Amino acid sequence: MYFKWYFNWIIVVVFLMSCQQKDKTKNFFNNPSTLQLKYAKHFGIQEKEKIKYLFVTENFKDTSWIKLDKHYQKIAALGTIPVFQMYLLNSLEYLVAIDDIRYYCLDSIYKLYSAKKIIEVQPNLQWNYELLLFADPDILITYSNLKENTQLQHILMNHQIQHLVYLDYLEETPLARAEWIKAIGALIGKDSLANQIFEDIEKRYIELKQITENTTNRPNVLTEVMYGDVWYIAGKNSYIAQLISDAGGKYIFDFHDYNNSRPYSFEYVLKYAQDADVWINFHQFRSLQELQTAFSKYRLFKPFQTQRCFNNNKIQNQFGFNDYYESGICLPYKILEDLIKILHPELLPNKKEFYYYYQLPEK
Amino acid sequence: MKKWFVNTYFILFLLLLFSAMDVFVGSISLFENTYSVNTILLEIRIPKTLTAVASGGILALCGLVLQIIFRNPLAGPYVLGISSAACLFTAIGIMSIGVFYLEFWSQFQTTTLSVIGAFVGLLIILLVLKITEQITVILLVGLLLSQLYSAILGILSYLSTEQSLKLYTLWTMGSIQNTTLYQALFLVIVSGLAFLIMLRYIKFLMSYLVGDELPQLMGMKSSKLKKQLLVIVAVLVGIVTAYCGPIAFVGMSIPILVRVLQSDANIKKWIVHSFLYGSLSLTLTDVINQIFFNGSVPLNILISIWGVPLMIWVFIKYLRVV
Repeated sequence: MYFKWYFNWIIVVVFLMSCQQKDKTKNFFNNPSTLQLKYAKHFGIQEKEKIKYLFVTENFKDTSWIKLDKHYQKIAALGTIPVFQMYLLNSLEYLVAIDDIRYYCLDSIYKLYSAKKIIEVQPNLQWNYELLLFADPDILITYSNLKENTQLQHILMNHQIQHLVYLDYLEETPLARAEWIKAIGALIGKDSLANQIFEDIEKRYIELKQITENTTNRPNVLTEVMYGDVWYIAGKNSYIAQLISDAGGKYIFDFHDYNNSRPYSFEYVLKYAQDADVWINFHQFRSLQELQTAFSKYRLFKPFQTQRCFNNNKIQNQFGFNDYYESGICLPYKILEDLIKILHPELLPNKKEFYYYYQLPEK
Repeated sequence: MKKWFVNTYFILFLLLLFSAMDVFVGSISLFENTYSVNTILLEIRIPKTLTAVASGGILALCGLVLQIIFRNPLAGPYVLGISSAACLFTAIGIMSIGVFYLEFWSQFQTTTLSVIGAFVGLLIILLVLKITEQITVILLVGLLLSQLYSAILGILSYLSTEQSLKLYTLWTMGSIQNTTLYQALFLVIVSGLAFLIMLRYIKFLMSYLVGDELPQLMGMKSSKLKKQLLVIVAVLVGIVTAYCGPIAFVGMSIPILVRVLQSDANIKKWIVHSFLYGSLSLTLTDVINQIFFNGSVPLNILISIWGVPLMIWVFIKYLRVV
């Protein structure tokens, strides 16, 4: 009897707790003071007591907040995407540090680097805390939260360096990733310019998307190659799946109901994708010959035989890093234009050159 | 004996010299006055040097004890699977940070997991020790277990996201610079304690070196003392692994080097020298890294590159029964 009474209470308490949590997860996006973003889900800007805050959230439960009570003018941005977005905002003079110069394709970065305006603080993936202190940034932008790095957290706290975790890679659509330029704009106080640039990107993207909207002929598209023994396949809610469908193609694995990449075997991919029409994104490979040397069974795919293989590394820097993952992610309409040209060349008769893609030559 | 003291003082002098160099050499010159010297020294250089001295010493000591207990120069934290188990547990922690991340717990998360991992690794070895006393079998089992742990890690990395995978890969390269001043001081205290504790076991280790029976004849409970030592080693390895990641080379090679150079079996001398040589090796590596590579080469890579050829040369030159 006592036990039952007790048990009921536990159920009630658990129920209440679960309710409370649900409310918590929703409040900051439904809050009327939140700046409405069109696509991005992992960041936002909210006004509390007349002070604006930029918030970033990974799992929609915990958020980290950055106070926007001043314009950040010394930014350490460890990543190609925030740096390129600063370039788009014409604000590279605020950049004081990057991770490793070898990752960048942008010429302006090399100029600033040789003029000693910016320094590397994570060369070879090794932190150089001395140079980080020397650069003396107001804000550090990194891709991961680095909570486990106690020394870094200690330095950030002691020197009042804000930390923005750049989670653009969690966004599911190209436009959502591009919308992160608004976060950079908010930091350096160029909100309206950022909005303007994003509207332009959006307009161009949607115009291109409309071209393919009514096509009934949708070629099957296979993406990526094996990494070791594993083929990482992006789900239907992923960035690449969205791009392919916007470009008027059919992503072969659009029945995979997840948004990240998961590992599968070669045979699994062969089973579904043997008769694909087009194959894109081959990482470092630059010819069909190279591809076949790496793994001879790639030739079993139809696109290999018909030579409908396109890679996105047309523009690389001298260290082999790909501009696709720098300017491409920030300006997704360029990628979309390339993909439409690949899948439906008849729809873009005036386009002669690709931005990032090229057809893999035989040798 | 006199020669030994001269040697020891010389190494101590070298250690102090390189530690001082490590403090004074870096990406930023201390004399150009570009940034607050105090900050650079207190927040970055001194913690780094202290970590190098303490963790190098601890690892070499642990290696020495394991080699004596297992009567085999191949024994070391890495070979017995203790380091790998600590790594596995830490990796589980790092990869699941997003899943069960708690603010107050984060400071201790990796340390605790790493020590637990080292314990689990050691417990398994102790279980094997119960079944068989044959050292070769235990070493083989240790090696196999190491591979098993790496395999489990492989499965984990296969399932994990790119971001956490990168974090983990970085961590496995070993690093002495990711400690705060307090953590470094903690490591120094731990290393001092380790040194003192090991000195207490000299009598046992000395008699154990002669044969299994001698400790018992001398009235010591051999298996109990052995287990105590192994538990101490597991805790020490766990702590160092948590702060610095798995550091290669030092744990196995330094004790061998000491025993080759110091031919008379005097455990006290071995303990002192192992500690000093271990500290020296890590400090020197960091000095080389700072001077020639601007601090940008991962610790494990650099230490193997200069350390392994040197060790091979020493072994060939002083070829004796190790």
